[in-house]
Amino acid sequence: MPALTDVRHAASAEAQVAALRRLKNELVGQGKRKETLVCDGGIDVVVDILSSSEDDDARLQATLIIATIANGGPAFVTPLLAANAPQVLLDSLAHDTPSKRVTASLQALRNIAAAWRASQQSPQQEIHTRLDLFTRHSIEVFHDLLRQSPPCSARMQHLRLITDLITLSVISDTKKAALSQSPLFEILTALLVSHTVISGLVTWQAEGVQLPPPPQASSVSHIISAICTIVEGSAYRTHRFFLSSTVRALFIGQSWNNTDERHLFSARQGFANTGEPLLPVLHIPAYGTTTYHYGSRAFPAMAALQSKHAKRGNSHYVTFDENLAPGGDMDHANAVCSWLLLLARSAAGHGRLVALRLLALVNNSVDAMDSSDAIVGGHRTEYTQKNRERKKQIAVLGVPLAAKMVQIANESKMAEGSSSAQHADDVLVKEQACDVLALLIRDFDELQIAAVDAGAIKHVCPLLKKTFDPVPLAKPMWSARTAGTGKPADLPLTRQLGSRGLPSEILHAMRCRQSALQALAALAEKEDIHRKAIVEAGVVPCIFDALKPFPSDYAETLAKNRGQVVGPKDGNTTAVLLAACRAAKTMSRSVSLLRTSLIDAGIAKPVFQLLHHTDPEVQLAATDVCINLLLEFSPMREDLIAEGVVKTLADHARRSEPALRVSSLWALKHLVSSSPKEIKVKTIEELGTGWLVGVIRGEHLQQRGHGEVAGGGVSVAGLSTPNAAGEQVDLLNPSSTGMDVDDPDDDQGYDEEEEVVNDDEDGEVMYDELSSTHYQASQLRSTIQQAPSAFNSKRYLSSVREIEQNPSLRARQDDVAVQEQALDFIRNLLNGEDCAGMFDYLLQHIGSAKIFELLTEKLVRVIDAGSSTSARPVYGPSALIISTVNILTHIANALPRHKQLLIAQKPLLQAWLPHFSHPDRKVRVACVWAINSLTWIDDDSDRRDARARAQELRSCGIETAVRQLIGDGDLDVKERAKTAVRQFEQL
Amino acid sequence: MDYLINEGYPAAAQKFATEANIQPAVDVDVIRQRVDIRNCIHTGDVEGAIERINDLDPNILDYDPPLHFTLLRLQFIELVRPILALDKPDTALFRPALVFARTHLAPRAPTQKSFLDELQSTMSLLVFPSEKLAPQLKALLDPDLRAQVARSVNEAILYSRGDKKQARIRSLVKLRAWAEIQAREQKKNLPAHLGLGLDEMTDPDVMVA
Repeated sequence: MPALTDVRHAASAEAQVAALRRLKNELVGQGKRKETLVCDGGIDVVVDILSSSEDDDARLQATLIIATIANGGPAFVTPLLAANAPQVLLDSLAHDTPSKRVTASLQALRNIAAAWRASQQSPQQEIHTRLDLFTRHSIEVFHDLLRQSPPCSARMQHLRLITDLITLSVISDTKKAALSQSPLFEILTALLVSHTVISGLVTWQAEGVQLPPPPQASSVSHIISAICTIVEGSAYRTHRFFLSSTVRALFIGQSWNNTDERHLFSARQGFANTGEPLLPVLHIPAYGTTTYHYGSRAFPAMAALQSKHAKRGNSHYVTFDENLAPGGDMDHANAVCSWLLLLARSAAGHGRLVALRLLALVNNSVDAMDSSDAIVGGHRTEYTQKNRERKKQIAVLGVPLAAKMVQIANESKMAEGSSSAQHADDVLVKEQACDVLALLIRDFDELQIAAVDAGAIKHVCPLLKKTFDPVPLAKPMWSARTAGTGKPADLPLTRQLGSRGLPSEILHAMRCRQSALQALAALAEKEDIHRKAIVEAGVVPCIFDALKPFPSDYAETLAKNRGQVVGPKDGNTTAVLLAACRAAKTMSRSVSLLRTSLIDAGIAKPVFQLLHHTDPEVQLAATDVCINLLLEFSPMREDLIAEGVVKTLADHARRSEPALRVSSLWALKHLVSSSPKEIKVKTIEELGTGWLVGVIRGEHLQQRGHGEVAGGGVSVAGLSTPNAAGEQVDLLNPSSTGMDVDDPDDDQGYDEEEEVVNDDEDGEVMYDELSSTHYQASQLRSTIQQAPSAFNSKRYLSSVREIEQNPSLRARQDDVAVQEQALDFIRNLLNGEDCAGMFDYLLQHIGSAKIFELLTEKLVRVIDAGSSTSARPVYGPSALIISTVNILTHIANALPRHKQLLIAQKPLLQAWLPHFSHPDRKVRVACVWAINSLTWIDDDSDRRDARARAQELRSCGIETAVRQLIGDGDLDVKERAKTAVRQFEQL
Repeated sequence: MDYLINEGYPAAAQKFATEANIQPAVDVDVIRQRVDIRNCIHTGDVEGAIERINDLDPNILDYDPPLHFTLLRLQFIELVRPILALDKPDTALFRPALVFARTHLAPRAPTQKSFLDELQSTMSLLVFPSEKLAPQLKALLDPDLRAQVARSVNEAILYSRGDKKQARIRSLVKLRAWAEIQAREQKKNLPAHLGLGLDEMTDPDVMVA
């Protein structure tokens, strides 16, 4: 290129600037010339000028050239990164840089980030390069830019560009965490607050808190979108956002009379702080008059009774800090949600979507913390009421808005004639509307119903179908020469074009598809009616098609014949695969669909293939689908076994990722339930008995050096809560479906009705994300000496972080989940016709001493009374105890000699005894069931032995314990205990 | 004020601000740049305009191929305009214009259908004698096209800086006109003529209303 030669050989600074300017004008809008420039080594030249030239004009022109090169797309990312362009640009943002060049540098960085982002979605793995724009130093620079520069149009542009940089380039959790701790995050939050104040939504009454000058109205959506990017994926970071000092000051600054008037912002008052309510006022009946009310504030002692019914089970042992309102400051959280709703209602297009997204994130994080402290106290009712008000408000005002956005996305024509600005907004709405809806309603059945009422299924399904329409690719510019394909490989990286990645049209279709599938997964999560409606809309084949990955050389094939129409079924990006797996998972929770439309669609085969996908996340998602597909009533089970699913799952189970391990064991657990003996034996051989024993003992955890049992430090906090962890898993544990229930011969069938609090009528919720397994952090909290007066946001934040991020706590949680699945695996192994045979198999391969030692281990106390921080003896998580006792039941159900073997285990019986008075009713029920089986008389020959067994139980105190349970408050326990006592007496 | 800034009258905007005693949040520089670009287009110096746009922000044309194409086409028209005005144009004079069309316009033509059509109609300028042009071809030579292009460039620049594309008063006037039409269609009781209230001498009853 002549202009490039001129730049290289410029005689004077002026000549160089002129040549650079000419080069720039030649490049803008000319993709082909940009390619030539790269191959000619132009990037090195330009970056060199940028980093070493003295002349300000030359550097400005060089910056602009980099900006326009980056607009060329993903192919230019590799050479630009190889030339270290981002770092050079960041360095040029120093204090004394003229504002114009700062703008240009930010612009160039933004363009690079955009191209990089597009390259990340390519099916090829090798081009997934790292882009690190937010280092400790650069965050400071960005912060200075936003803080210092005077409020003029340049500053506004800087703000927009920096927020875009965050949205585009921040993906990893560590970066997000670093940003959330930075002053940059604070200033973004403050700008949003400032905007709210200037638009008159809230009167600012906090004295002493300085707000930055308000941003332009058009920047608000950029700011919110950057905040969303930072907080997404962590309840702690979200809490950091809405508990930040400026957001708190927005609602709490009543300086003249010091009264808390935040209830004015709530759903019932409709954001009425400036007089007229700004949101529709909702009438939500108080809990006090409904059956949900289990206690009364006038009788705090009743709280103990309520706890039995609390969402996550009991909390008798839990000593909690009265001063710490459960779940944080609910008034504030509600005010924040109302505020975000208001922002969403006052914006349009993409701006509205991002506000809704932030609303969803805040609501989800408040809820996550709510369920992780199922701590109940005198404030419980008021607290629950406020929680309910918030959800109601979102159901009535937020979800329909999101559904409306989906409708707009579905109906928008994207006319070619519309201006490019409008077009860009339409594209974003189309890509994100479904995703926002999904985020809003996931995990909340109430909101899912609201979404369907607002017509969500009607609009999501056509949107999904449309993404399978053939995509006409934009034709490349015509050129007289055909592009030279053979490029020498020995050129430096800065002179080689990277992979083109997928064309933007396909990426757009992929993003739409992914977001529509997310919405389907969320809609189908709880309600069977929704699933049926989705099937009727005819999108099941779409889910099937979305389970197919791109061939790895897809981008190249496309590049060869650009200008063609791309077929709809060529494949999918990883993000789409994940979303499709999620949709398949929730859809397959319906037994009837599993047997009809899902089998018709042939969903099993692609899912099985995805088990072998290279991406571990996809493997996990596919395993999660398998959990449902491998149930005993699933028609796909045989096919999957024939394909060799046993071996794959066993391999996955032995891998180190805890989530994959849990899911694989879970799937195997379903697989062995009521299956023929050969399959059971094959599975356990595949897993290896030694390995299984190791997992149950938690050896894997100790190897990694996390949380020594009964050791000091925080792991005690995790352990010392008797019902720590496993509660949530337990909640959706399919013991009502996957385990014993369908076996007519098994007299141990559980009553389903009370089994699962949150279950469907047909009880088919089988798995839920383990992402929010919960610990009761009571010990954690009691170490925090709370000032008795007001809510302390700092301390609350730190406890939120502990719950979410403490590594040993998390390792414990993961381990408990794995152990539970492993124990349940054994339980299902023993269940059914060949119970005795299977137990013999285990005896033979593990050895009876070892088996009982293992079971005893799970039942004994972890910490002895008085020996540690806790005053009471502390046992393992109740989920593990339940699983263990259930295994005992099955052993007791095998042959008489097995019963005898069990009764001979003195230490086991000793360890078992305290659990008859376990606070969790599910543990007590399981215990009594086991006794029922132990005292059962098989035939006449067994009568003598049975009497001996009863004698043994009496002597170790178990009979007395059972007799005491006749007076148990829980009906199920009571009735089982009656049976047991009758059997004792018949002997 | 908003109108003056958006449409690019920096001097008037400053005077207005002084007279009305308001703090002008005006960046005169930015307005001046836009005015410069507009003037370039109006005087037919499209190349200069494109260079100035790229100086301001290369993203504008990178992201908006239709706008870039429109500008280049205008540049082509400006190239042939003086030749067409000649009495008996020598075909050799067209050579530079043809080279321009080949290097800049032709490669873009296949990327969008509309580009191809526009290119064809523009090229036919060279074919027909200038006095017998069809009306739609005449429009290409009309100075109105310059104004139209200048307006879309102005909007694109405003948008790239995150401003509204049009002055607020424009949409207000549109809204008013729309409301009037709606009201008349629904046979609301309206006077035959509704003035804007700017020329109140001739329209006393609007003042009362």
